[in-house]
Amino acid sequence: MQVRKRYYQELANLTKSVIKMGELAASLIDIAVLSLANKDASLADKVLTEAARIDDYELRIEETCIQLIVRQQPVADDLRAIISYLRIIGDFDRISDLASNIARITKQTLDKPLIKPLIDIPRMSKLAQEMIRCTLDALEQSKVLECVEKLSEKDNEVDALWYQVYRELVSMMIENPRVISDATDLMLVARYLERMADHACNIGSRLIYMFTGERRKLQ
Amino acid sequence: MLVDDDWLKEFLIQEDFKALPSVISVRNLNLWFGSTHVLKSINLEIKRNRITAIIGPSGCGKTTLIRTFNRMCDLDNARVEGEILFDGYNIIGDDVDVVELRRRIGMVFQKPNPFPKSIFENVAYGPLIHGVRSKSKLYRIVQESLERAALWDEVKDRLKDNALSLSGGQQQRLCIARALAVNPEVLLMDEPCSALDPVSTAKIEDLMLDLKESLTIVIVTHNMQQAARVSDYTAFLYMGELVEFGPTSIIFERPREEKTKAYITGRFG
Repeated sequence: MQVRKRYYQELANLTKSVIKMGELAASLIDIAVLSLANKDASLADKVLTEAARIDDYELRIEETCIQLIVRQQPVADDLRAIISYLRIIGDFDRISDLASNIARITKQTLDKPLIKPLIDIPRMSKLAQEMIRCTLDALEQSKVLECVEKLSEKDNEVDALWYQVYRELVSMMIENPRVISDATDLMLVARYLERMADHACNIGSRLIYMFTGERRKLQ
Repeated sequence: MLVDDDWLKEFLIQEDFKALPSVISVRNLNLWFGSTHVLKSINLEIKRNRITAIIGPSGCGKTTLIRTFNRMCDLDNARVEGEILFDGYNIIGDDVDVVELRRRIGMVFQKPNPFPKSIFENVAYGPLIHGVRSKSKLYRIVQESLERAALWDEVKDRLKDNALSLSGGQQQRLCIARALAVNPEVLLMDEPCSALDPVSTAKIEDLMLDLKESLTIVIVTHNMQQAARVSDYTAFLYMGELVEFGPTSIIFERPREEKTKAYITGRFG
């Protein structure tokens, strides 16, 4: 086997592993919000066990990146890819931690009915998942520019929903202080989802660097 | 491990060094040139079908060490004490058949040193000395050896040409083919790429990975990147002492010894 060929194969496999980790992270958002909407303890537990897998992915991909740097002295786009992966897996890990936070809220409020039907929160969840899947497609197909446009659009939508949920919950609390605790939980959930979308934007910035060498912050 | 990614799992598995069979075991080896103590109490295990790299600054004893493995040190008037076990026998001793030892443990040197003969004769030389007379058998050995050295396609139509007409990289692969022709179990490579350009170097490195399927390789190199790329295990030698030995991935990521760290980060040597 050729030294360089083996290395290219390893880089390609590394990309696949990063994509797998990202898919897992995106699926956790869905399960976490479903667990809350349905007050389903088993779904919440599933999020927490799967989040441990994400931690394991992060550790092992990081070790693999270190090994590739140590043994192959990557340069140019190979170097940018490995450096970007090292940071992207950190974003995936944060997303999974935030999904775990939502699952914990579900578990703490199992016996309480929701103070309002969830409408905007599932929308935010869907958007955050779409944003992550968009980065994964960009990574798989090396098409970063189309993804970046979509990311900015969807991030604006998520931000708008976050303010909407925020205002709605604040007025509920003013009207009825007994819902403050439950409303705060929902506000946190919405905030977590808004943060997840920001992490997806961070991943977008890393992909721009990876594919073009340009450092640009997506807002 | 929790990840469901087979590749990721396999990539990070560290093999069990102790469970691997040793081909050469160096036990408390000391070597002197006159009154100069060149190798000091070296203990080292060379594992079968693995590439072991020996690194260290100039004059640390790297080349001297591998030259003891096939008794080339005899030519240097060295005094040797200790044991080098090869196939269970101590090869440091008067009763060793050195010619047979050098057949089983071949060597490739820093500068390509083909004989000033034809390409065919260079490769056929070893088998001829070892008693192969049949022309068809010789031809088969030459072809196989050149194929294993990844040189056959480049020279098959010019086997009668003088070996010195080849490029430096081709000459080095010819020397590897010559070593392979007598079917060695171990190949010692002393700076095999230091006289070659990057393309020829890459070819030799590819070749090493192919060859380790069928034999054991010990390489001395100044080029730390090369050691990191191709070797499975790395030994760091400094002033005649074996400072650190371990899996290449660990030596280059988190060496235990300060001296190793200083050397591989370029802080001395």
